Amino acid sequence: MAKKRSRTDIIHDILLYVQSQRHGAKPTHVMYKANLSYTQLQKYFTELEAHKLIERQEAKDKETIHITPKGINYLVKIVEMKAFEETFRI
Amino acid sequence: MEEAITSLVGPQQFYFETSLIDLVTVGVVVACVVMSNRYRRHTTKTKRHSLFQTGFVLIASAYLIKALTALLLHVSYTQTTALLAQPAVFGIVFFHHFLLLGGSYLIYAMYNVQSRRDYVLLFSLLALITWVSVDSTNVLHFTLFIILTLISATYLKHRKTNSFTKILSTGFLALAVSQLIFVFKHDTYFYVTGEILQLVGYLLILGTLIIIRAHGKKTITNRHHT
Repeated sequence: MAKKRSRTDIIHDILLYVQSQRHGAKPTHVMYKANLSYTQLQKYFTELEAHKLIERQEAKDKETIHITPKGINYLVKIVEMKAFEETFRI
Repeated sequence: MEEAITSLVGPQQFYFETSLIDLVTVGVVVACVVMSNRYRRHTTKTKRHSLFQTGFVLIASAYLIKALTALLLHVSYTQTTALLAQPAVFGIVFFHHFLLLGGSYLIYAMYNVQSRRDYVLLFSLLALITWVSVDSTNVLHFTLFIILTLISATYLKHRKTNSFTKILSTGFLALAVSQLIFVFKHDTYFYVTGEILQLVGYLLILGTLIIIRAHGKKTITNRHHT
């Protein structure tokens, strides 16, 4: 059985997908990619927005999620952390 | 007393070089601690990070003691040896050996879960080994060789899943072999070879840290451009 994801793992999954989308990511797509329910996703979006890691934009009545430079830095840090823990077997 | 000092910092003609190599070692080890601390806030594995940091802090402290002793002796051998009474020399050597053994053991223990009783038993044994090793440094070097080889083997086992682990295991293997060479450090050539191998080992560990840092930025940049 797969290990339960930590909060950091979920944030990593969200930010990684959002960052990969040039023109912003649709919330529904983020939900599927990060494997979250709608309620959970909204909770994370609120938290990430509060920490200025993502920003929500509305264009033509459609909401898209964009990663901020602070979000990119945080994502880099998480990727480094995972590589560090995997390398040193922490 | 001269024998005790030589067993700690090596032959007199290499005091400065020894202190330089040991300061580089301290730098690398501190870099490992700083990096681990950087990620500690964001991870759930805080206990393992604590063990990791404690182990490396002990090792850094051991090499700092050695480096400072070597530097002081290099600056003024006569003054320093006049200041150090026999008990002080014993204390420095004991402390250095215990920190080195304790630190290395904690890093090994990270991969092999121990109960609190096991820690008490093993640290008592380490204290005993340290006591014996003050008079016979071969005991220290053999023990460190075993611990470092086991750590290297742990990393080697996972080399196929992670390419950085290969560099890391080579670094620890170099450190293990350097300890074996130090058994013969009364011979100058063996001492120099051991010191160089130790430097190579720690530089490989530093290289691993640099590659990990670069990996983060490279991964995100590449994904952004695909």
